[in-house]
Amino acid sequence: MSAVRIEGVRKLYGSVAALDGLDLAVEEGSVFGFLGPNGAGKTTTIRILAGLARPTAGQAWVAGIPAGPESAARRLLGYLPEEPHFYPWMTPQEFLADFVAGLFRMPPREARARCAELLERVGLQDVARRRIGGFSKGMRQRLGLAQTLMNHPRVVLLDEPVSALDPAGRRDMLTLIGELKSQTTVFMSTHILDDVERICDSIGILRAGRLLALEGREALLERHAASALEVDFDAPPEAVAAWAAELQKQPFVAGVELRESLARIRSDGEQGTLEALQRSVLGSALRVLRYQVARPSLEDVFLRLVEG
Amino acid sequence: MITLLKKELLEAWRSYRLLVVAAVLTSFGLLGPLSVKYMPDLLGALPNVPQGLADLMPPPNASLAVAEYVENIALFGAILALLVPMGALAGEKASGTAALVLSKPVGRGAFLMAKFLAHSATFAAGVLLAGLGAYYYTGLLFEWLDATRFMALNALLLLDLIAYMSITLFGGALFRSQLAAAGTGFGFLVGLGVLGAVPSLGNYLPAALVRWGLGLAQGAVGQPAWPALATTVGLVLAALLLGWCALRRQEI
Repeated sequence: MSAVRIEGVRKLYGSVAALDGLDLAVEEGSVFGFLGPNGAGKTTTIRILAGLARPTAGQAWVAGIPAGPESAARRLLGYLPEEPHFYPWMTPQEFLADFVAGLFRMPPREARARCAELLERVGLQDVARRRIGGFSKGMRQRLGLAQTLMNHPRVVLLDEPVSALDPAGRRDMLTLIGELKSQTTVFMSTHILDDVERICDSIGILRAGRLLALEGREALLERHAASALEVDFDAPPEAVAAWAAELQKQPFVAGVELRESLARIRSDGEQGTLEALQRSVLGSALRVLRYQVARPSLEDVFLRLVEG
Repeated sequence: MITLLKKELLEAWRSYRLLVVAAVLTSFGLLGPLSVKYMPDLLGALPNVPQGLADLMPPPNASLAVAEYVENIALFGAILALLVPMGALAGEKASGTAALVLSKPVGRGAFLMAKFLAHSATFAAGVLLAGLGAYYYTGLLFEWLDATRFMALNALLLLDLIAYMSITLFGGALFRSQLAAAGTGFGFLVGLGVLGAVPSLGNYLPAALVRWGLGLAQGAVGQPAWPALATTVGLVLAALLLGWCALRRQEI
């Protein structure tokens, strides 16, 4: 059974379609990265799954139970919004052991034990009795993650969980999310591609409310394996830039990134493209130090799909 | 529901909401008998007061003290009933805490009801303290009133305030803005004032409860305002029901 299933979901805000016939299934026990540019509909999808919004048409299920504002599915999920807000006068211990545990009707002893375990896991055990009002953004995010796990959820919905964090906070948070893999299904929206590449097993790419791709990370990268090329020139960067500007006019070139004399070229992936690129490099009259068909990064795939 | 109610009561305590409501109502409650007793003396002691002004004031007595108390609590209690609950729902929706809570297995009706009960308890504590203070000072300065009748007056005052508070909560259920929530309560208050000017309607409105209570406390034999009681209870129930419906339909 899929941990998350979405069938034909449309969500209209006035005349604007935030989601336009979204179909999606996420396997149990996986970390699913939900990618898309701003406004693609990622947050709307997560809010529908969390029971905070209703689809205009279609249906979503969490652990086999239809999602909705009064749905029993909420017992089985944990939800972390992009910027979680708490009651500033509460302490983490009160929030988790008394409030969140109370909402899930957990026995007090179990609630206290789970709270202590989670606070230790997210590194907040030393501030368990400090008021949340004085917490930094990173601490709030970690507390947010702890509250999503309080009820041993079958599905954890994370909306841009690391976008507001500094590099160290991001690394810690991603490590924590990665550790959840064996315990639950993680459905994580983000626009930070490195993070997805690091921890997600499967990936969905959304644009303007429509799903462009949905498959395992490796399969996705493999499928687009021929689409990137790296050429290291032994030539002045200006000369390389002039050549790149000409190359970019070609229809089979999706994009060129330059780092001094190193060019990374994204092609459209059509047959014969690599040969055409090779001819262009040879015709540039620039000396080549290295020429390599590169495994595309997720960013290459994402940009190709979203911009294409 | 119990967890939500506990949280609301704890919040009333930690955010000083309970303290503010109790302090304001108690202060103005005490001011009733004290001002009636000492105002003539104060006026007499002030310079540049026109001669004979103090003589124009009616002689202070327990009845006047109670009337002053009722006026103070009805006015400042109504202001508090607009200001205190205006952020209860609207604020939580705007800040995002409501989204965090309602993604858990919590009914939206329970979310609203917990806020209603906690705010009612806050106002009840405030009116109780104000009533005790006013009763004590009225007895001390004038004469001891019938405690049961005075308690009935305070119960009716409390119900009047709960009606305004419920409408403000209803405004919070409708809107995300705290100002809009308070505006809903204020609009309702003004609307009732306008309707109250129509003689045939006056006996059906919450203000008649206050007049009934005042008459009871002053020992007067008057007509009980049962229609006003029914209207007020009906208003509270309608505000809760409509607020619940609004919340159920809403995207948080």
